[in-house]
Amino acid sequence: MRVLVVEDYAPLARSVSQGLREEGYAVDLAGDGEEGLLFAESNNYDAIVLDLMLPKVDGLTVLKRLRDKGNPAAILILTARDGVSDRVSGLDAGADDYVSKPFAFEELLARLRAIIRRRYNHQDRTLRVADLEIDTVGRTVKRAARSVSLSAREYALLEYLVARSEQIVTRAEIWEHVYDFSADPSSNVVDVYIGYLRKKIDLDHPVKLIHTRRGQGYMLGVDTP
Amino acid sequence: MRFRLTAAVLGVLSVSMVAFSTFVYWATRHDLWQGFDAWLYRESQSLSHVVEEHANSRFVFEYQGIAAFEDRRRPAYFQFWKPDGTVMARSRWVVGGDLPRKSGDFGNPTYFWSTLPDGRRGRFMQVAFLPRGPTQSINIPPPNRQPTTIVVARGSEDVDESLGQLRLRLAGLGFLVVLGAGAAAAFMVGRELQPAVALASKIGGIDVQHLGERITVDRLPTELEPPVAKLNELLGRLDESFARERRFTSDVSHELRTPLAGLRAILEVTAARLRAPAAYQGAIDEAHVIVLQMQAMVENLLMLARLDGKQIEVLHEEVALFALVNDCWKLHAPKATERGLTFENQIPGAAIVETDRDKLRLILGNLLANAVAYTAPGGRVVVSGGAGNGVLLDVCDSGPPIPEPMMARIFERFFRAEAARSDAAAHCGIGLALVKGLCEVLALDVSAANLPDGSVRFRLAMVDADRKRAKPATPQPASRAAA
Repeated sequence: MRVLVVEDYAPLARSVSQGLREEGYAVDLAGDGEEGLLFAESNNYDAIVLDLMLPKVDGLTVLKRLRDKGNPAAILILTARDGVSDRVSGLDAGADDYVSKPFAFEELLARLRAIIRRRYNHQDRTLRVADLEIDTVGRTVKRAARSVSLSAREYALLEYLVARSEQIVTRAEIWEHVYDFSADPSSNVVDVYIGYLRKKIDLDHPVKLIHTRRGQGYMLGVDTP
Repeated sequence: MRFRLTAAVLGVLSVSMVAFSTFVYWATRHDLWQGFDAWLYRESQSLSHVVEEHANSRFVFEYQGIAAFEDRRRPAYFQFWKPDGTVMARSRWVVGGDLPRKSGDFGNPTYFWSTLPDGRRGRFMQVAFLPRGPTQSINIPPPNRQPTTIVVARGSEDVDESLGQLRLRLAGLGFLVVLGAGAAAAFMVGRELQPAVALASKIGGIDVQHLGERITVDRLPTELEPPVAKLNELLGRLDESFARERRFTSDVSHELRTPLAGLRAILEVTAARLRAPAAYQGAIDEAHVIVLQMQAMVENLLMLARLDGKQIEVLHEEVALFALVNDCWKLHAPKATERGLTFENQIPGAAIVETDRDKLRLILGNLLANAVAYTAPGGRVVVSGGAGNGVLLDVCDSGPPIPEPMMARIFERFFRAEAARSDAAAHCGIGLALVKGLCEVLALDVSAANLPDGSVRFRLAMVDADRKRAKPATPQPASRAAA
C-alpha cells in the first residue's frame, strides 16, 4: 500500500516514513501543504497521513480540496491540536481518523491498517481468496493452511492484489500503490516481483491464483476465463 | 445584616413609642389632675359664698346642698373651720372625725393627698378665706379679721381609673405598633436587601469556568451600581488574564507535543527491530538534536515566566558588542551555511555597551535565529550599530519582508507568520516575545520594519541613553565574520 506523509517537522516525518516503509508501505514525503496537494493529486495513494499545521497551505484546506475533488485516499490526521473542535472540524472535513501527537507508533500503524481496510470495504483483519489467507495485522500469509514466507515488498504487492481481488490490476496501478518515489522505476520490476509471488503462492498448488491478463495486467483470484 | 437592620429599626421604633406614650400619658395625667384640682377649687369657691361672717365672729352658713357632696355612694367632702379652729360646718358624709388639714397661707390653695372618711384615696384642697360680710369684699382682709379655712376633698378613683386605662391602651397600642412595624421593617429590609442578596448569590456563582459572565441584578440600588461596575471590570480583567493563561498553556503544550512526537517516533521505530550500529547512532543523534531544541524552548519559556513574575535580576557590565555578536552568530552559522546565507558583523570593534551580557546574548541569539530561519535561501544577514546614536544595534536580513498585517503581532507569544513550525521547537513563536520582554528589562525598545529595498530590520534602540551609555567607537576598520 502506498502512503503519503504530509508533515513539516522533519525528524517526525523521517521517522514515520521509515517506520512505515519497514512495515511494507510505499511512502512518499511532503514537507508542506502545497507539496502535499501536488503529490496527492498526481498519485493514487491508499492513505494519507496529514498534519494540520502546515506551511503554505494548512492541512484542513488540503483535506477539503482533496475531498472536493473526490480523492478516495483514506486520510488520517496527525496533529498536536487535540481539542474537541479540532477533531470535529477535521473529521467533518472528510478525514477518516485522527491521531494526536505524541502518539504510539503501533497505534498509528493500527489506525492506518483500519482506514485502509475500510477503504477497500474489508471488515476483517484477515483477507481471504480461496485458500489464501493474509493476516494484515501479523503480516503473515498462508496458502492451504501452510505459512508462506514473503519479503516486505512481496507482502506489499500481495496485499494490494488481494485487496483488489477478482479485479484486473494494471502495472501502473501496482506501481502507484506499492512503490514510492524512492523505488527503482525500471519497467520490469513489477513483473519480477509477480514472478517471485507466483513461485511462493502458486507453484505447489494445482489451483493458480495469480493470473496474467495479456495487454491489461494481473488479476488475483480463482480464474474464471 | 438583615437581622441587624430589622433589630435597629425595631429598637428605634420601640424607644420612640415609649417616649411618645410617656409624653401622652404624662400630658393627659397633668391635664386630668389639673381639671380635678380646678373642680376642687371651683367647689371651694362656691362653698365659700354660702358662708357669711357677721358681727362678733358670728357665721351664717347657708348651704342648700350640692349634688356632689350629697351622693351617697361616692360622695365628695368639705369642712369649714372658724378662725379659732373650731369646726364651722362639714358635708353630710364627713363622719367619724374631721377632714385632715394642713397649715396654709391666706388665699393660696394647698393640694394634698390623704384618705377620705369612707377609706378611699382622695385629693384634698385647702384654702383660707375671709367670708363675705354683708358689706365686705371676701378677699380684702381687714386688719382685725382672721380667715376661715375650708377643705374640699374628692375621691380620685375616676381619674386613677382613666389613667390606668390610658396606660393600658398606650401599652397595647405601643405593642401592636411595634409588632406591626417590626413585621413591616423585616419585610421592607428584606425587600430592599434583595438586590444585595441576589448580588451575593451571583458573585458566589462565578468561578474560574464562568469568568466571562457579568453581574446583572434587577432593581439594583443606585448605591450598589459603582461597586458592581468595578466588580465587572475586575471580572473582565480576570477573564482576560485566565484566557491568556489558558492560551499560553495550550500553546506550550502544543509546541512541546510535536518534538515529543518526533522523539517518540524515532525511538519506537528504531527499537522495532535490530539494526546496524550506525542506524542506532543516527537515531540517537537525531533524538539529541530534538532534546536540545526542546531544552532551548523550555529555557525560553522559563525566562518568559521569570519576566512575567518580575524575577529577573539585571547586571550591569561593560560588554564588547562586536565580540558578543560574533559569539552569538557561531551557534547559527551551520544552519546559515546550510541555507546559503552570508553574515556580516558591521559593529565597530571598539564598541562597548554597559548592559547585562547574558540577556543581550539571548536577545541577539533569538534575532539571529529568526533571521536565519526566515531569510530566503542565498540571502544576507547584517548586524550593525554600536555608534552611540541611540541605536544599540540593528539586525537586518535580505527578506522577504514581513507581511504588513502581521507586523503588529510578531512580538506576541506563539504568533508566527503562518500556522506551521519551521524548524519546530527552535521557532515556536516565543523567540520574539522573549526578545521584547528582555528588551523591556534592559530599557531597550525593540522594533521591526520592512525597508524599501525589501529587507527586514530589527532595531534595538536605547530608551534611556544615560543608563546604557553606549560608547562611540573610534574609527577603525571593522572586522567581519561571515557564514
